[in-house]
Amino acid sequence: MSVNMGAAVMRDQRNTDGGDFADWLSPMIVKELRQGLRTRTFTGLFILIQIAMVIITWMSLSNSSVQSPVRGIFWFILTLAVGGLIPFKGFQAISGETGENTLDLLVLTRLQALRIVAGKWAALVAQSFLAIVAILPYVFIHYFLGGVDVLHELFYIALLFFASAVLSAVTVCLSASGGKKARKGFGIFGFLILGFLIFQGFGIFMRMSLGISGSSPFAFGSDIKPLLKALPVVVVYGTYLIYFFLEIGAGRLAPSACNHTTRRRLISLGMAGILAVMTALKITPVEAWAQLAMYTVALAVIDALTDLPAVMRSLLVPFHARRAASAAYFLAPGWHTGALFSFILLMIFALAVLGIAATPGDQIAFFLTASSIVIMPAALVATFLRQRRKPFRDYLIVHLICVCIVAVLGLLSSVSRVEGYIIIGSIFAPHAGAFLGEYIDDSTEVFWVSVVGGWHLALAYLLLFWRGRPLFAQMRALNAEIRAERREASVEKNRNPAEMDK
Amino acid sequence: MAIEAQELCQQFGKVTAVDRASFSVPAGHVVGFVGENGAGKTTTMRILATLDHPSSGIARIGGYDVMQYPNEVRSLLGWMPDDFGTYSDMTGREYLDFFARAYGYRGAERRSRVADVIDFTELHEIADRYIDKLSKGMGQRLCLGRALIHDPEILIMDEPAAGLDPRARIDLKNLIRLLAEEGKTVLISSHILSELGEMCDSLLFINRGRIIHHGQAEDLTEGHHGGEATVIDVQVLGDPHVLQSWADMNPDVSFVDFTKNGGRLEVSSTDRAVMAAVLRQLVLDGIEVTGFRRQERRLEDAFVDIVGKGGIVPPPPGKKATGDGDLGGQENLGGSGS
Repeated sequence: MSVNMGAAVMRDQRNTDGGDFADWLSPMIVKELRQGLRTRTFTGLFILIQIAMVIITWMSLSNSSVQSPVRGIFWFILTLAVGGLIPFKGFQAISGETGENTLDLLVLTRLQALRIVAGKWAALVAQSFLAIVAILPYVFIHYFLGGVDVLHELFYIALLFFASAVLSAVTVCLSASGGKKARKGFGIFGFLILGFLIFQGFGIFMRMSLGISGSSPFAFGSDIKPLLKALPVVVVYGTYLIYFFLEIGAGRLAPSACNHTTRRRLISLGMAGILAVMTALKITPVEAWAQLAMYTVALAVIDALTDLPAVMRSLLVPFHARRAASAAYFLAPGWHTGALFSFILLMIFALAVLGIAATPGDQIAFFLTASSIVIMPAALVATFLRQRRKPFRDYLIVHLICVCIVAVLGLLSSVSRVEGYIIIGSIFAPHAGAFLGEYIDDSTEVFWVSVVGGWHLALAYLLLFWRGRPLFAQMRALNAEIRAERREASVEKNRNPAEMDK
Repeated sequence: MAIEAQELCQQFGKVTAVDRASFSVPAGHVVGFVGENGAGKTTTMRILATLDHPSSGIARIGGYDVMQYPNEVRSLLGWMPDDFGTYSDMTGREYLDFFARAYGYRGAERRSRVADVIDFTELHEIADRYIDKLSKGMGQRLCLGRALIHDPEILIMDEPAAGLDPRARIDLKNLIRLLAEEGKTVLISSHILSELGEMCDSLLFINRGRIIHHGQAEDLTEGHHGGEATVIDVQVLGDPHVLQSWADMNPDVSFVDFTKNGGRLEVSSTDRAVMAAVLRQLVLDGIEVTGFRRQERRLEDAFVDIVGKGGIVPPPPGKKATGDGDLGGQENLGGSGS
């Protein structure tokens, strides 16, 4: 009886016997679907949707006057299932594995962290897809009953499906970052707000890109063609968001010697760069590109500044192999390199977006204030909480403290009618700068808001680079070591090429 | 060396879980990792398995640094945690099948691999049962099967026998013996020292995060007080207290404790002639001896002694002292195990 005998025999038969269909899929997807489709949540949801759809269709058939409210119920159920319940299960994705003590076992396999996280996400998306497929026959029945524009319905369903996929990526990412605590902290309320923002974001972008005006984000009008033209942009940006969040989740699972940062930063840099160029070239609709560039920069900056530092030889060697050792100073993992990376991103954004602003003063004031609000908490975390293992959580806590301070100062200013509180507060918390305009004369408002924002931004970078010095020094030492070794190896190879080839 | 740790430290806030632990395990050896609860066994093993990062120090598996090359280390390693680590809504076969896929096996090779592991762990009867319906022993066997699915060279097993009934323990011990015969390197932690003594080439003791001893089980069971004393189990007819009185009158013998029908005596020599003299004297003094047996030192006693002495182990005759945890290869082990 031997545990490796059979394997040795069968290894010779590799590729001679074809596998089953599941062999073509990622093991995680196979496992997740196997488990996911057995869960009560999915089975219950599936049966409930079917029952609800049958009742709705029966009501429509029996009484045509109830068409409109019935449509409302139809959309409510579909949005709740696809946009709510299924993505919400993402909070359990990684934390569920932790609960069953299986996460360690998973990360020790040949599955890379990204494949684990992506598998979890793909299983949720597959469940959303199955739920949508299950209701499609009812959409067509309603079409034949009349009063329904089936193309519009399908477009909305596609939009819902895509937004659900993005939302699932966010919840899976959060699940990898903390699981139960994240779920508790975030809560259903936060989830609904996030979901609403994503749906709104899609809708607003579509309207802006099409130049449609109106208050409702989903008031697209009756013509479907322009919507279909805008769809690729939504798909590209949504795909970027999905990748971005899944990579963050994967980074949380992977050992620090596995680099999940460089690729993410490069893609964010590319995305921000393209959007900035489109803005700078004033390609219509310029506001949409600028707004997307701003979201991209904000996300990438927060991510870069809350990255756990890992100064390791194995992380730096690939940069040398690609003859890009200097790039490690802003692309290697860690908040210290993230500081440099965020600086580059902000410069690109500033040059592109501020260059085309109609009122540059206002835009500069906004840029400096917003940047300092995003960056200062990270600088405070780096300065005072360096040894902590959860920099993103600490970052959010510092934000919350700043907001509380500003709220208290704002309250004091309002009650006492003395502007001094908020003005003094703006020296310490960048968040106060956002409200400064309300207490300063209009003629000097832009100037003072810019000064406060600039002061905080400069101070934040000063703190970040000062605190990052030891990490940069370690990187420099390792880089010098690697360079010397490569030089030696190269000299050795030149001296005796035949020997080296052997 | 298959497993190597150099000055390994792990700090959790102000608590030092692992304190400059250094040891090495040659390829093909089965090493028992022993320590009280909270001594740092699991933390050390998790670092070796690339699951945790040490605060400082170096750990290598198969020559690869666990921090720098985790993926290479993981391909060499089979990890069996102290908890179950199974999915309750899967059958045993599905569970093994998933991990075989996760380790990159496809098609016939995967099916064969799963079948081999089921054969090896003798899980045929329960392979198609849901995991939550399995007994702890069966579940543990399934976990061992999962750890072996990619045929790793090195196995790290954290308390695999915890909570198992005697039968399941024997089965597990037999499986580990088979793995040792196949040349696998096994680092196994357990509280049941007698079992570890039987199946391990050497024992590694850890206390408060520090490696306090690394050596063969036989070295520890040879005699008492570093091999200079012998404990004798004496059975007598009548009142066993006569043994205590007798020992008080004989300066070369000390009374240890009472047993069911007698007591244990300690003589400060390992010479067999001295033991014979003790027996002769007991009989001459009119004590009706019904049993007289030299008692080997139990591993548990050795462990308690070493922990009590802060890890200083007197060397057995003709052997080098240990305490830094480094076995240094065959010389110290007498070439056993591989």
